[in-house]
Amino acid sequence: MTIHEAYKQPSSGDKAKILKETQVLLAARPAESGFYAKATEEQIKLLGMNELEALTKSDHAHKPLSEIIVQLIEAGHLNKALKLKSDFKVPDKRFWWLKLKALAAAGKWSELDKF
Amino acid sequence: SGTMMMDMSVSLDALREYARKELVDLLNETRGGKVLVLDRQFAGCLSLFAEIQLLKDHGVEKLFYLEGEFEINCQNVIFMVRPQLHLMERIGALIDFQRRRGMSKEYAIIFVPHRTVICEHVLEQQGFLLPNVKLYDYQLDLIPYDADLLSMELHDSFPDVNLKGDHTVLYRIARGIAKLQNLYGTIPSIKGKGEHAKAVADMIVKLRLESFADGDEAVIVPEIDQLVLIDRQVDLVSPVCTPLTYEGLIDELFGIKNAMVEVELETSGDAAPGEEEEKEKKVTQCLNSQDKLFHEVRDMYFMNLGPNLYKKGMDIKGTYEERGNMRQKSTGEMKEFVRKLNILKEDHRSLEFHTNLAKKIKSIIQDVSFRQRINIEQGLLLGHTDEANDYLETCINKQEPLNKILRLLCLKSLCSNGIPKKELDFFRRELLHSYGYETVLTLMNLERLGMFRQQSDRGGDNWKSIKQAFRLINDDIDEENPQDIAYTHCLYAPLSVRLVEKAAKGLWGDVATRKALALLPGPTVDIRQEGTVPVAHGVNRRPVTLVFFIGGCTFAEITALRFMGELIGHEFIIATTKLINGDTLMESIIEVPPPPTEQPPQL
Repeated sequence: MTIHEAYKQPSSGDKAKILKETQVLLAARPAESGFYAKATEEQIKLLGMNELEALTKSDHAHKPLSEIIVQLIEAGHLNKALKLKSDFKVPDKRFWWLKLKALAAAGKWSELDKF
Repeated sequence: SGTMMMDMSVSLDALREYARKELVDLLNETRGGKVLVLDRQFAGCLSLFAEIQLLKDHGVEKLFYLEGEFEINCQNVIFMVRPQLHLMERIGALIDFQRRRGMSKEYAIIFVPHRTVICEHVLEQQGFLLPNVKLYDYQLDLIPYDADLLSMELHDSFPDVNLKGDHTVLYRIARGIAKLQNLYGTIPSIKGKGEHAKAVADMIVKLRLESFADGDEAVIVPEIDQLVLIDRQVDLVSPVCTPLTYEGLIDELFGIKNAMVEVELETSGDAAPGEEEEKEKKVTQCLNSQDKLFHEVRDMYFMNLGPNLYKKGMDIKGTYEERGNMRQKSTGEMKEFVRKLNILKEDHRSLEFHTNLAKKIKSIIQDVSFRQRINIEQGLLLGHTDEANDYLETCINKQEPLNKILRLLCLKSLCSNGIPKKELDFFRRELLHSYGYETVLTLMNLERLGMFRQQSDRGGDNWKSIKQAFRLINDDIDEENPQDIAYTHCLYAPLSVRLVEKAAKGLWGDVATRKALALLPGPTVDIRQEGTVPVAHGVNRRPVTLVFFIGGCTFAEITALRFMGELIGHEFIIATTKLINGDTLMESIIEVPPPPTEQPPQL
């Protein structure tokens, strides 16, 4: 399974490279794996956003999208988080939960009040 | 070994003794004092039928777990392990450690249930297949777990058989049943449902013919009337439902391992008055039918437990109070009273534990979150499949434990014959975003198993037909005095047990049953093993059915079988590849990719 292989790679770049192969394989069988081919494409896009790693001062290779959004808000980059929200079509409801989690973690109680 | 409390006409003690004798024979192969090094997971299984004293009686001076490096001050070392590669590496490391310290020892490795070519290869490559390392096999397939329960304790049997296509488990089941037939006579009738049930049945017949050819079949009057093989694939709904029985809830909330539970409980008595903090202490308790009190209450609907424990408490109090009238008693009566008092002390200790545990469980299940979950689950079973969507979305957003969410999502999919594409894609995206892209692997596993899948445009409501044909929903339960196995989930009667019911009542070949069986996946098994000695017909003898769950069974299913046995005057021996619940089943399917391999810094 190439997904296993991809996850052995420590860096986002290497991971994305192997996921590209995965995506090609998945796309070849559109009937049952159309969704997964698209999901893999999305993941490659996310892994390519290296500039975000600097903003959260952390490695994103193994982080779910939701966690990256939380970290961005925690670090005060709400705009970048909103950009991810629209790029990856995150529903309002989930974003609301993530924002709540991030503000609570960052101890920004005054902003929590505005909820 | 203590005999079990339960009143069974077929005693599994014979199997127990057989397992113990084989163990002792293997230990005796190594003369003199020895150290036994156990793989930790197997050690738990061993404790189910062999006590420390038995090991001591046969020269075992010390026990270790096969973990890390430690010095062994004994000439003979026996490893007892499952045939797993990482364990071979640990054995190698430990032998190496002794060598480096200049200790030359005699080694033996006992494989449970047998060595594999790849394990031998790994040992050879590491240079440990020297003349002073002897290899043995301990063919232990069915482990006696309780008076009516056998388990193979194979943690990954479900994914191994259904995802990896590893059919050695099926062979081991057939071999285990063949061994049972040697001890209890050839079982005249084999019934079953599902692809793997068919495979196992065919192997049982084949193994018997082989032993015929060898002239090996023992002529024993059969004690077991029939065997029912249930392939877990046929009933995936039951294991994901939350049980509402006492033992089921203990397992659900705290996890029962090797008939033991470890739980933090309030300690009664030693808290000084006025002390504000109520301290909880870790308590370990054995849960089997040797505990008379537990035996009586384990299968109860949880809400009936409280009044029953209270009544037991009053009985014990009554006997203690008898002490006051001692003077008027004769010596014989005194002796009898002292005997009673000793039993009572044990009962009292058990009562105290179970009262505290019941209190803890009650506080959990009365909590809103638990009740909400049960409501959603019951709604899904009744067919209100859309009501779960908001709840599921919120759970995912809050990143609640993945196994709990998948359990409910699978129930939704199973109860609605798949999930409409748009909804399915929504949930899949939500899961990948919240739990990470690698969750793809787990979702693909669930789809391959048919537990989480897309609704097809064709095909009617198959689940609804199954529900009706097997009477799976019963919303008219007398909770205080239940009359139907549906009390185990307070609505839902496990499909697997309804299948067994058909076989136990002799309805397997009926037109109606056959029509109902056709709704379920896989072939139906109905085999008579010809040429067997007729089954014994003692006075008041209840028919005995061995039920084998291929891929695991839950405590609620065991409870339902025991309850049905009482109802219809039937005895069930239950065997399984593993005791499971919804959480552990999901954990075995969830695939976690290995962590990145450490690589040297690039130049």
